[in-house]
Amino acid sequence: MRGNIKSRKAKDGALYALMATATFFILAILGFIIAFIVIKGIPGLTWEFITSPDWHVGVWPMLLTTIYVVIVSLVVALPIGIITAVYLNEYAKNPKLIRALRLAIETLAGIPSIIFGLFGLLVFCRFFGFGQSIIAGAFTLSIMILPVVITSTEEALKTVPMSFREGSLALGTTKIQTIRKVVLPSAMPGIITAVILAIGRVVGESAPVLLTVGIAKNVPKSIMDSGRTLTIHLYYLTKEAIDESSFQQAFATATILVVFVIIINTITRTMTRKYEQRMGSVI
Amino acid sequence: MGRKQVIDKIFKNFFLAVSFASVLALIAIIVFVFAQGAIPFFTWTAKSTHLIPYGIDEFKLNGETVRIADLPSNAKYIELERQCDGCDIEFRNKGEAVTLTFKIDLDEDIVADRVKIIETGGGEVDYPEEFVYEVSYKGAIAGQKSGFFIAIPQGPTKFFKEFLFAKDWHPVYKKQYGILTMVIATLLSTFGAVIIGVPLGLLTAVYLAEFVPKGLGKYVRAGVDLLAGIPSVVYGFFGLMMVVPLVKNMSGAPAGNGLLAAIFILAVMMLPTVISITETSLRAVPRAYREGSLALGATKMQTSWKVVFPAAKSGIMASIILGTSRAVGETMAVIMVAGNSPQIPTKLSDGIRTLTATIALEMGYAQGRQNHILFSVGIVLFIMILILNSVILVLKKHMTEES
Repeated sequence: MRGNIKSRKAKDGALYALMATATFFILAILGFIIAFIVIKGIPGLTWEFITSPDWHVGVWPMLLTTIYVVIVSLVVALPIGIITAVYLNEYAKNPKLIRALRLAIETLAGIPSIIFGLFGLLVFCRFFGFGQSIIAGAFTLSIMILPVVITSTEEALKTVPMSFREGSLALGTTKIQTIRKVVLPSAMPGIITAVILAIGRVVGESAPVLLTVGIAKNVPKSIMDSGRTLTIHLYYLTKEAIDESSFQQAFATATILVVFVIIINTITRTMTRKYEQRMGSVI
Repeated sequence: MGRKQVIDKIFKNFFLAVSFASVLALIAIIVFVFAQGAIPFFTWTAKSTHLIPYGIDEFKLNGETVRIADLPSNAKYIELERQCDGCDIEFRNKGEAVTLTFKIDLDEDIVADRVKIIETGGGEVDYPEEFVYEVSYKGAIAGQKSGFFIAIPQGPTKFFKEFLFAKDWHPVYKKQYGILTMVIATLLSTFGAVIIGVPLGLLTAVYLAEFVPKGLGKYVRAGVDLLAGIPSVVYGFFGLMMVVPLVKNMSGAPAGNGLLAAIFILAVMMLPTVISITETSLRAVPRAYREGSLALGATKMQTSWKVVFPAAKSGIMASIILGTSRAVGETMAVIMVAGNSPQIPTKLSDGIRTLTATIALEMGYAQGRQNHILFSVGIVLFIMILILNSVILVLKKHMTEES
């Protein structure tokens, strides 16, 4: 019996060590990826690299393209996504309808991004005649980020206590007034988190952008122009690398992306935590 | 009903209508991609054989005069009959009259036999690519040539024999569109990633859910979130600069781009999905399960792995499947590290090309049937994902029944 306990303890200890090792191995990989890229990329990250409109030298055209794509896709996806979330959380009662909507949203979330690229190319670039352009890419990505916007907004709406709505309705407001003046403002930090998550998704996306926005290296004059986002620029820098300086630029571009992701993650984390604390004190 | 109620109702219906955007988008994606991807299996690439002259301004086709200047500017070709026993072309080359005679029979089994050149009139016959014949004549100046391309249409591609189970992918010259190598590459790289990523992810998730010291858990979770947020090109770039040279040195192969590098990158990329969903489902297991097990004298470790883990198995399966679909659908990271040669790998260091890679790599220049076929590749990918998704739906049903 005693031996049994001993062997069990040994087994437990070994398993614990294995789990801890796996966890730290994963963290080590993450740390290594970030350190590897940032250390090699920081020296190339000069003021000129960021602001020079000449694509031989810097990434200004790519930054602009990325920003345009982000803005246009948010302009399209946010209203639709937030309204869908409001409908699902505040209005929808028919369980069949809710199930159908949720199924569509979940399926949309699971579709590989390259399929969105194919769709965007076919419909926005060819059928609507936008060609490879920022607007075609932004429309494509706006469909892609819809599930993110909807689910995160819904999460935010769910945290608004029922008593808020009841209190407002009891004062004689209509439902839409309650939603506009009470529910949405209370859920605002959560909605902003949704927006930030969506921005992160758009900036990091590459395959559908390659198919729909294209690879033009110049500063885009309007959203009808083709362009090259940061991710596609990184891909082409390594693909067409001719000398050491191309890799230097690639490392610097990758660093911008990594730093951006770290900033986005930090903001969403702090916002979620603060929000949870506040809601906790209200409830 | 007051004015306010009417406004309320209008808003409600407006919101309902907007909510259907996701449903519409999903239907549109399925309909458009499937419709485009189905084209190669049902249609001919063109209605008839095309005759494309070059360096010739005017000629007689079966006695009728054709002037190139009169052809519409977007189509510099003449359509020929599907079956013609003797097409005659007469024109003048270097001042001499030339007669070219050929037969067309599109029902012939062997492609090369579908056009038979009977008389060339001094021209040279060439077969520059499958389904295209060229008859050329020397011009007055050395190096100058004139002649005709005879491009016959390609029939419907056979879905299983010439597409899904065919090994040869030579889309440009041979016009062969076999994707078996890519299906195998996608399955192998995904399978490899699952073998590495899932155990690592599950061990970490159980550690996070059950054992991690409180202060540490926060950082580990932040790390996992960060792992999920890193763009796929950055993973690809890291793979290219770090993993590929490593594989090259270890295996001694001429290049490190290949299956092993792809497996490694995909394994890392699926980790956050596996970890966070598994952790959530482990946490959802009721406390009573743990307490009951501990009260029976089981250690915490035994409780975690033998009671809590099995109780969360639907959620864990879902996490594995979601991770798998991320690996199946990943594009850019794989392109950057996998070497992209369409072949069936025999070693871990061999180059592979996945389904997603093929679409992204060739869409930029693909014309005609090749372009449509890339959408067909998209369908195959789509079906793989839909199968994985439906497994999750079944699991979800289980989960709600369990609780």
